[in-house]
Amino acid sequence: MLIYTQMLDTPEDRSKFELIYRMYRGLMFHVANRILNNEHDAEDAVQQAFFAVLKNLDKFSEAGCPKSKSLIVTIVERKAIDLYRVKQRQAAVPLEEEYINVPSASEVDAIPDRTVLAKAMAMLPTRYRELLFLKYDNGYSEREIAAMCSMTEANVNKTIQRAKKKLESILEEQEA
Amino acid sequence: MKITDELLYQHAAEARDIWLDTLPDGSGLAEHRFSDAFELEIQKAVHGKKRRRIRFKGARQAAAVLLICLLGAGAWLGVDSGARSTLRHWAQSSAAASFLHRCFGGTPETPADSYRISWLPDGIWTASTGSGDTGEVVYESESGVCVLSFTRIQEGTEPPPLSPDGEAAREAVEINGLPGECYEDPGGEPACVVAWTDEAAGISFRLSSSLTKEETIRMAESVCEDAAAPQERLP
Repeated sequence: MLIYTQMLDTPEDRSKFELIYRMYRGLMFHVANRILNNEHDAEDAVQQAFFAVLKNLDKFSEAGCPKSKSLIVTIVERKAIDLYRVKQRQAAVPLEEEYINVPSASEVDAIPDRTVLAKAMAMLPTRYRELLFLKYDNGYSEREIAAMCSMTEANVNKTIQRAKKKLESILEEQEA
Repeated sequence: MKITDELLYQHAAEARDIWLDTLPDGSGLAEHRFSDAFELEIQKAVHGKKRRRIRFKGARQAAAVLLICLLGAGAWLGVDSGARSTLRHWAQSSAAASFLHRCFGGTPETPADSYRISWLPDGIWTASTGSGDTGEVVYESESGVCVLSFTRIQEGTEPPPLSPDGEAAREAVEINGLPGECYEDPGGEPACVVAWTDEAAGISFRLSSSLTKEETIRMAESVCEDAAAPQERLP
């Protein structure tokens, strides 16, 4: 664990990173392993995700806050999917990128006192959900999102527009 | 229902909490022990990044200091003409020394190749430079004529005779602590000749004058380099 902290200059950064590492390393490995189905590859993805966290540590206000958790899971999802594409694993069940970590309707409905729109957003396909959260929850610009997700800015804009359209169609179906 | 940015900003945090609630929490996950290879890769990357950052940071600071010094020196030279002149002389002498060292294997002790008499008896003296293989400065006035010649010492070469016939009596003298000789012929032309050698500078001097021995020796002792002289330099 101390290995990571030698990149960090201040004690505050060091303790913030230690907390992130302790709190989320298990979840990060679980998310990566679900995508890659290989422990060694999952460790690689987690390693890359921690480097990304270190590089952007200032963007994490508090280690334990939900915003930070959401961002960390998004980062490790992206790294795992990128690694999967690189390795082009021929799994028995091919990777359905659209539905990675997408909860089912029953899971979402079991959570009480939540608005319809929020539930619909939580059930969006992975890519739509990631971009909407990065923009409207974490507050990143389209340019920053494009850099984080290895996309072009135009592609990010287009994907967000599609996500909005998808939400509208989900809400219309529910009303119907 | 039209989905606007305002609606998304309002509900994004709630949606995020819903989604996070559906993920397994830490207690439900099997503990994973990361491999030694994983730890090693992280350590290598961490140290490499820190070293690069330190080097880059140090280089940036050094470059900033150097830039400030150069700007300061440039501004100083821009306003101080004395400093500019000193710098120019230094640059010229350094370049000359370097060239001679590379081509001839030695650096001359005396950068200036021209000399002059700084003390002359009263009278209006005009100076002109001679020609030939040696340096020569001729001073003329109503009082008389003085010729100062200076030659770079060549190995195996005999200095010119002190007296016209080579046999007149010579007297050993010292010119500014340097060994020399003096020949005096009061009725002759020249009336007095003084010759001395500066081995350290590699130059031999000869001063012949129509003046007295005392005045000639005093003039000899006042010989100094003449950096501002016309460009008749020793070969």
